[in-house]
Amino acid sequence: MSACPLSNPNKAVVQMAEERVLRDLVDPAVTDTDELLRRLAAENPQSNAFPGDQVRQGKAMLMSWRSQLQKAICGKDRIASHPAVAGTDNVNDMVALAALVAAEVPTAIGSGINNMLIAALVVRIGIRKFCDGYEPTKA
Amino acid sequence: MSLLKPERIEEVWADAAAKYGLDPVVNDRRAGEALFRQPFDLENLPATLAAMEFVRDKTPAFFDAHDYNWAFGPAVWQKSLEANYQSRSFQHLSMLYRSPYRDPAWQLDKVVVRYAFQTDALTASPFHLEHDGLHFITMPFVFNETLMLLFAAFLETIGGKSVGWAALEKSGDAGDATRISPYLKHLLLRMLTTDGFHPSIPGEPPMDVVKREAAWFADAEEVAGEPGPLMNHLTMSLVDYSLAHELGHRLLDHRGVTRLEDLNTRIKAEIDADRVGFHLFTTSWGWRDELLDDAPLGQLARIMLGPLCFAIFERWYAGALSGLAAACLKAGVEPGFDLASLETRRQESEARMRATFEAVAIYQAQNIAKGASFNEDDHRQIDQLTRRMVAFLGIILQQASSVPQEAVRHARKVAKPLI
Repeated sequence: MSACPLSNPNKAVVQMAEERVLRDLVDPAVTDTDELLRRLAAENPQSNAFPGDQVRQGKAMLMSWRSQLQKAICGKDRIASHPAVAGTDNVNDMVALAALVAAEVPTAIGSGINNMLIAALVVRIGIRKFCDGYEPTKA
Repeated sequence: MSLLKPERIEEVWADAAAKYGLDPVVNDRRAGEALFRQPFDLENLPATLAAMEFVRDKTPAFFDAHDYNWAFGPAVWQKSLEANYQSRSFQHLSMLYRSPYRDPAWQLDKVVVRYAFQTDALTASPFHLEHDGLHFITMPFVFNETLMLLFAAFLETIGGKSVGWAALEKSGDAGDATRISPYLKHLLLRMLTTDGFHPSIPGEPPMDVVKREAAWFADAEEVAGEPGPLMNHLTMSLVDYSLAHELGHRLLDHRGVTRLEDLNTRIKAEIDADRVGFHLFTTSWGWRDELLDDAPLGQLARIMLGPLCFAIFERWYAGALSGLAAACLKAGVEPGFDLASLETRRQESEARMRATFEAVAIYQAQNIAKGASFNEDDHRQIDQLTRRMVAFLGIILQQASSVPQEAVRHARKVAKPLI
């Protein structure tokens, strides 16, 4: 059982701030999906030989992580049993699900804003769609 | 100071690849075992390492001054091609080290070449990335795949991928524009189905499904077999020039140029890397001249092949994206990338091309003044090649935009884009 955040005011403030960030990220009315992908690409310090497209680069990064993210997310009961797992328009449910996903993003991939960005994108895609093809026995 | 070890390189690369999504295979044990360090591929590694050793024998001072011992054993290499690219980077760097025109501020160490199984056909580009003190020059699978497909398709307009330079003299200016190359079809199909081209996607590969079910794509074909002399010369020049450009980013200590939002700042940084890259490419020229022995060109014309192929390849690739975007819009499906990026891409390419060809012209003038030649035959060959390459850009645009709507819709439906 987790401790009540109010028993630690600093922790409560951090959690509220994180929830606010996550809410902005998952709500399509606040941030469109291309913008999330651009932000993801903007975390990547590479210098390409040829000009390109930051939206596409963000998608390519997400696709590169797909197998690792599936292993981390798709077998988790608390995610699979979440009411928003099949997709929802309810932003509160999306935030709650994204928080669960963000907690499972491997530390090698995401830290800070990055894991919340990744979680928001996975939730927008839809957990079921994202996990399509995941086979626990091969993980 | 401790020497760099293969284990350290592997650790830093795995960390960078995971953090920035550079390679879906790194950190995936099963995929890594299937794709890297394959016995049939590693058979070529001793010869590649011997060639690298030859570079060290010819330019020992560079290797005495820089910590590159780790590169000469097999442990660090995941593919023999990776070692080959590292060896070609050493050719650039070691000759620059001897050059009196080298800027003393340029750092020539800590360069590690990686081959990545990056498959996104809508973002095919080599890149430089600094991570934890190492400077990775990465050549993605999709870049090699795209350049082979586009050059094979181009050569089909003048007689086929096995032709030599004489074919340029025989064919008409625009070549055969009526037939759609199976290689170009393959590239367009890869672009349309790229979201389904991934080891984590279950079932039959989407490309195979589309080739079976959509008649227009039925004869789409990968490039197989040994390239002919013209294809070999052009693609080799492009790859070496691309490596030189990425080394330019390393020498200038660039970080994250691609993500710079201000277009002018980004263009300036890329032009700086292009200029340093051209300097590297010309300084190391001796290493490549022999490989172009059967090209009917003098040295100055041979050098032009690098910047020429680099610039035209970018335009071909952008042309395929533009044409396909038009086909997607006609078919009522999303193109899968940001359409606005096509315009900024054009602006960046044009500015870079202008600056590069100014540098080429100055280089030529300086060398002609010193006695080098650029004769009428050189002029005619380069002119014919350029005109045919530019004509092929028109062919790409026209053919990519004319993919039948039903075939576009079917490819998109089969690939099931995640986003």
